Amino acid sequence: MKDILKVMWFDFLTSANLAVPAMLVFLLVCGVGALFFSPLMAGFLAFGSMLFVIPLQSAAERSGFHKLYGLLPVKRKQITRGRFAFMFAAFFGTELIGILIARIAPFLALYRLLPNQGSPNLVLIAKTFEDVQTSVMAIILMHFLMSLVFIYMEMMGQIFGRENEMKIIMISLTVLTVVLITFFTLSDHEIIPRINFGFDEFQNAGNLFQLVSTGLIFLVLTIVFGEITAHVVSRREL
Amino acid sequence: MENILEIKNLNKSYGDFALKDVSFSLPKGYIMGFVGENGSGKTTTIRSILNMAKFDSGEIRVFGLDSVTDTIAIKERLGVVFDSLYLAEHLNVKQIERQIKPFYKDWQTEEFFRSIEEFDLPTDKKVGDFSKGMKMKLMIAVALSHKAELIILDEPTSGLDPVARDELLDILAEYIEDENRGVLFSTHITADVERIADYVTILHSGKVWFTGELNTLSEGYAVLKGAEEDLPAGIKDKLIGFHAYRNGFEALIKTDDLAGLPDSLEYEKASIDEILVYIAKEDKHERHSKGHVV
Amino acid sequence: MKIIIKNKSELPIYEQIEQQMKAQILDGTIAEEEQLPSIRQLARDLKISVITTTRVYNDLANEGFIISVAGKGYFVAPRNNELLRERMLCEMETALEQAVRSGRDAGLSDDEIIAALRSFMEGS
Repeated sequence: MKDILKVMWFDFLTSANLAVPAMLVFLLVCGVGALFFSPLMAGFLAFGSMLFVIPLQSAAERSGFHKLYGLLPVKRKQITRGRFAFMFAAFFGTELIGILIARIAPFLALYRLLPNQGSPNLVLIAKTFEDVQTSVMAIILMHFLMSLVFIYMEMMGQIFGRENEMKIIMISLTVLTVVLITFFTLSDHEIIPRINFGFDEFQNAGNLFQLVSTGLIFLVLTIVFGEITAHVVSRREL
Repeated sequence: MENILEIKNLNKSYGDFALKDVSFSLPKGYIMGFVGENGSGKTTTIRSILNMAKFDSGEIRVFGLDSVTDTIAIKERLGVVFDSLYLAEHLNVKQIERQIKPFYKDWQTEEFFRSIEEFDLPTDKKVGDFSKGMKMKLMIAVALSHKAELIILDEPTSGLDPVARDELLDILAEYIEDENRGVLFSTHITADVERIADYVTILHSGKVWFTGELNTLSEGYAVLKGAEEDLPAGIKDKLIGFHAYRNGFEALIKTDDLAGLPDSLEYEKASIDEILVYIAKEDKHERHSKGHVV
Repeated sequence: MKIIIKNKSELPIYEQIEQQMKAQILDGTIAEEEQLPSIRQLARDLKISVITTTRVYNDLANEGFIISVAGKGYFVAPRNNELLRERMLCEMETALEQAVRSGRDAGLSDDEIIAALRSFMEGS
């Protein structure tokens, strides 16, 4: 566990000097947008978490970290686990910040400070602050999807090599499309029974449930993907 | 004498390359030059020591510990210098110190910055912009800061200018003044180790061609030159890398075999470089002659 | 103590050092009973291998130029040391023998050789 924390700290410091200033700008822009114009804008913070992950991946490639991983007194598996844990923290952390901003936006109702109160535009803006539940759900889903894509790509990238990234994306998308089309065609024709995914229930369950359930799925997938990657990478020659 | 590094019957094959029964040991307090042409298996051996490559059979002991089961304990006390930098290129020395420090129990920040100062490295410049020599010194500073008792250098001098190579020798000479330490120095620029190494291991095609004291090697072989017809019968089989040309021949010979040779043959002491060249020639020669037989 | 190592010399490094140290001990540049740098210090200063400096000290000790004091290190042997005296006598004898042989080869008579030796001794 301590090793994983050390690796998370290492990863954070690797991306921090690029990511932290950029993240602050992002936070400012999204924050102003969310507080003044629409709480939904806090969802764009999801792109901010990429700022921590992408520089880390490219630095690891460019700087020959595989050699460093070979000489540090830490098990190779712990290094992979630390990387996934760091990604989880980066995505989930920004998600929480995004939700927080969206939730406090209606209370502050800063849009009232904008000029031209009563204009049609302002009426539209004011409306977005009424149904903050839906905005927060959108933020949660946006983060959720993005996080899944990133940890999936991290796993595939580490296993098959980053230079094959485009290939991995194409193959993954094709497989996903084929599976989904087959599934929906079959269930539309009632060849296989329709499955209730609980979309409606999810929508009505409230933000806390939405956050916790997607968070748990994300956590479980992070652990599963992380373990698969750690297993494959540590067996391979470094 | 206690061995700081011991390799016994290391075997590993992959593709068309193999390490065959590689065995050698480095006693505590000494520097070993680890030489051989590119592709002779030096880097694979080093990666095996670091548990970065898996081997088929054999045993590696560092500080008396097993390289596979005790790899973490070994790495606490081991410093490595690779031919290229393994640290985050976009960070400066200070930022890198913060990154690496938590991994080592014995990390000493003051020691690190003392080395950095001694090596004239700037602390606020991106390490990716460092010259090759500066990168090499940075890796040594990292090794010194966690009190590494064994430093392994994997081709640190390829692409280094003479000044930086000389600085490296200075650093190693100072390092080894402590008799509890050891250095394994892999290089194909043999002039680097010719003076400072106590022991030398020559790897050729995945096999140990020589391992032992450098003196034994340099006193054990000579380069023989002369006219081919002056060679007494039977001696030609004992020559290594025999090479005839229009005006005579050149070959490597064991100094033990020099006795009784006619005065018309000249000989001089062989450098490691020359030894490597003749080993490679002998190899080619053998392949050719085999080809003729078949 | 001043030691210069020539990389391109035909002499092995250990012999170069031994010769220079002997010369400096004999002419007093390194005072008698002076402490010498340790084997590892000398290796570090000259950037040469520890095995080489070990060999130098062992050889010099065997020939009586230096002595090893357990736990303290190496010291230049005292001048009146019997071994050193004997060694210098031996060196003188070989040098004289060589001189006599060269003189005879040149066709000098024994008297002429002795005269030459005498003029050398008066000169120095």
